[in-house]
Amino acid sequence: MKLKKILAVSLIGLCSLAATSCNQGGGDDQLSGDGDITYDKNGEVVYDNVKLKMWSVTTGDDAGTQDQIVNTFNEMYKGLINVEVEHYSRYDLETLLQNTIQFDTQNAPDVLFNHGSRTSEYNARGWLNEVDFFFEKSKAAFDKADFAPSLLESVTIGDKAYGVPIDCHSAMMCVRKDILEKNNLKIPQNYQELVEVCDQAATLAKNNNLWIRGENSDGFGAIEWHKASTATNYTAFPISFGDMWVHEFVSYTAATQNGGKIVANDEKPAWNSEETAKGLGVLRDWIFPTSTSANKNPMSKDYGSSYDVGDAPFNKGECIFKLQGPWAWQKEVQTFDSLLAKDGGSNNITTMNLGRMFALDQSKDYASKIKGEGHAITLLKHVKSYTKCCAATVFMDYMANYSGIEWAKRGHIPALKSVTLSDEYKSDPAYEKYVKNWGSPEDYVVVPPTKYYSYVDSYFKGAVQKAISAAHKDKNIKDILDKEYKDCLDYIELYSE
Amino acid sequence: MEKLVNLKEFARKKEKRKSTFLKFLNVGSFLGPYTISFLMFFVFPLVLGIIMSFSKFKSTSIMPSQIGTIDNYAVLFKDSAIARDFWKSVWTTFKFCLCVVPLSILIPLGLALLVNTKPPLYKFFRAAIYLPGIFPLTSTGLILMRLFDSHYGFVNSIFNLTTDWFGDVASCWFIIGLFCVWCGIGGNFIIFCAGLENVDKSLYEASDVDGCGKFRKFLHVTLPAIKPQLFLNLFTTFIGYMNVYGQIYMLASNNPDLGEMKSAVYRIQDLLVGSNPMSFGYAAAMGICLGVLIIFVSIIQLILNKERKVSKHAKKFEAWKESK
Repeated sequence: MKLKKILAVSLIGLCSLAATSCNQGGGDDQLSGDGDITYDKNGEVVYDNVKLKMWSVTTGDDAGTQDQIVNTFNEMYKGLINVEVEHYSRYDLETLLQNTIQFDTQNAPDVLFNHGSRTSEYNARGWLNEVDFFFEKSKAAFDKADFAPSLLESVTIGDKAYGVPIDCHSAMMCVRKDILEKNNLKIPQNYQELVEVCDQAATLAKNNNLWIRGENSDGFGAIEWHKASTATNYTAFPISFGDMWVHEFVSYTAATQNGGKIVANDEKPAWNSEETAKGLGVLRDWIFPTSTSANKNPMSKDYGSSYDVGDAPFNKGECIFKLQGPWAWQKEVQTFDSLLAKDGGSNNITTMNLGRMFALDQSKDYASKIKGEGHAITLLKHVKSYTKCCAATVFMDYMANYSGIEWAKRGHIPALKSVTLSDEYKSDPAYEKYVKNWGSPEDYVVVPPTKYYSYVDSYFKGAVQKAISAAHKDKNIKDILDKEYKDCLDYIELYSE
Repeated sequence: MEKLVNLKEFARKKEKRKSTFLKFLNVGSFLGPYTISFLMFFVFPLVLGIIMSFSKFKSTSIMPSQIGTIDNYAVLFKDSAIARDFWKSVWTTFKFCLCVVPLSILIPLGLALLVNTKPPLYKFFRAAIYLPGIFPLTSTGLILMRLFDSHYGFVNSIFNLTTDWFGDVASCWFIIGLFCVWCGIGGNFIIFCAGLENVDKSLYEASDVDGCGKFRKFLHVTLPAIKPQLFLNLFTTFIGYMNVYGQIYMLASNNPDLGEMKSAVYRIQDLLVGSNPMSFGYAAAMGICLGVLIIFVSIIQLILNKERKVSKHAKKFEAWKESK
């Protein structure tokens, strides 16, 4: 008892400075009434130059495009609402947000443009406010039926929305059309066709009959066709356990397309299933085929812990497919416009989504699903002004409805079905050229809400890396999943309040 | 007369007060900034860390919800995943230190001895050896990643190898050790250089007269003369590598057996994933346990290296002197 008192007194003394500026966060503030909202004679909320600060997880070219979209909003709502955006890397955002909310609330953002899958975790920290209440006040559009179900689910806790989904994205496939055409191979549409194409290419190469071309090809010019080397296996689709695209998107997609679930109803992990093991088995066979594998030849070399493993072989013609982020598609186009300038440029490549590419059974509904990650705009709890919260909903409505094709060109498919079906969206030349290849928002599934997201994700990544690594290739995948699952649950149990 | 004495006394006291004030002002102005920094950035976090380790937290606040509990320590000493992982990582870190610390002492010592012979371009060598240490870990880490990448790395290309240096546990530890030695020897090297510069030259002349060879000269003159620098480096290097984190984070994050690669600090950092304040108590308790362990090992080092007040050689010398 004495020790407790001493510790308590010491803590109070030491923390007095910190505590004075500390926001406890959380709490169960019930939303009711109109707060500081002023209505005009038509019953509309009056916005008098409301300033909103948004922290956005976008960086680089994405940040530039987003700034343009937000600037258009600011022009449209000049004198009414103004949004100021600050961009942060996803590696910095969370820590910065926590420290700012706790110690420097005045400089904390009002709204957050972040990955929707984090909503439940952030809400458990007491950082977020529900948005339904303010959409009712502001009368801004929020037609929940119009959103892709999985994306809306990711920001919904109980029956309340804690944010508005804006978009979704996943990894994409880049395809060397020219190599396929030259060798009379067709562009695959599902896993079985993909395996067939890769096996055919490997057999052709073994028989010294596979035509390839690309940069730095053993003394050949970039557009000069020549036979692939017979010295090593021709592996048409490089992947590796060290590749971010594999452990962030492909592994989840492979699990989902074979019936695996990521999160259970109690928000705990659910990936310790035979279905998930089957999905990861597809990826293991991809690199280490056995007599029971669909593919007879390795579809990828064992690149181990290397990352971006498709980049160099793809440009050289030493593979036909590679994984990439859709936001990098424009750079791929530029590369091939320059590399094969004298023979069709970027017309020699195309892009595809991951739908059906890992499904063993194409007849299942889930065979076409793609694991994605969506951006959502959430409202932070420390914002006490109801007028500001209403202004935030107006901005959310704008971002969901008007980001459209410009944002999609950067690889972010709109979360609203009506936007992807609109004439404005479909009439843009980019849509026909490549955006439509990335599918519709309904094809994408994101991780369902779980306040244990970080643990669910990091332990699954650990299981995936083991499952497709050479060091563990003889171990049963289900056993690997079970072991990681048990460890993951042990840590989650620590945090049961 | 009495008045005069009082006046003198008054002037003396006033002068004393003034000089005392000036003395404190001088001392304060030099020590003040350091004292404030020391209290703010060392004492405060240390005490707060100890208190946090005896506290429970809720997920919605970084302020403790309960103070004075030993639950966090209890979890670390019972059969749980967190205890198993933490103590395993402490043991891993300790084994790593046993390998890397001797290298981080002997290599710079050897280099310092060579540079101390003042060969041509010795200033250039001195700068070149110190250089890797001044770059950020991320930059040097990227260089190593490029050098040792399993498919596109220079090392595998030049020697026609297929080793996945970062994918295999043993080889990954080897690269991390290399990383630590490469970037860490600079500081130790400079301290050894300074120590060697200060070795009394007359001792070498005396040992020459006594017919000492180079090795005996090193063993009986150089080594005792740089003993303070040697132990300073030993302490700081051991403490530094017991806290190794950045090098492992940079190079081993893609290792499929990441559990085998995690150091104690990596495990502590891992607990903070997802920014859940509920992990703060456990993380603080782990930090305190690690700190106590480091202190314990350092005390053993200190005892082992303690300068004996009167050595047996000194006693013999005294006896010989008295007999003359």
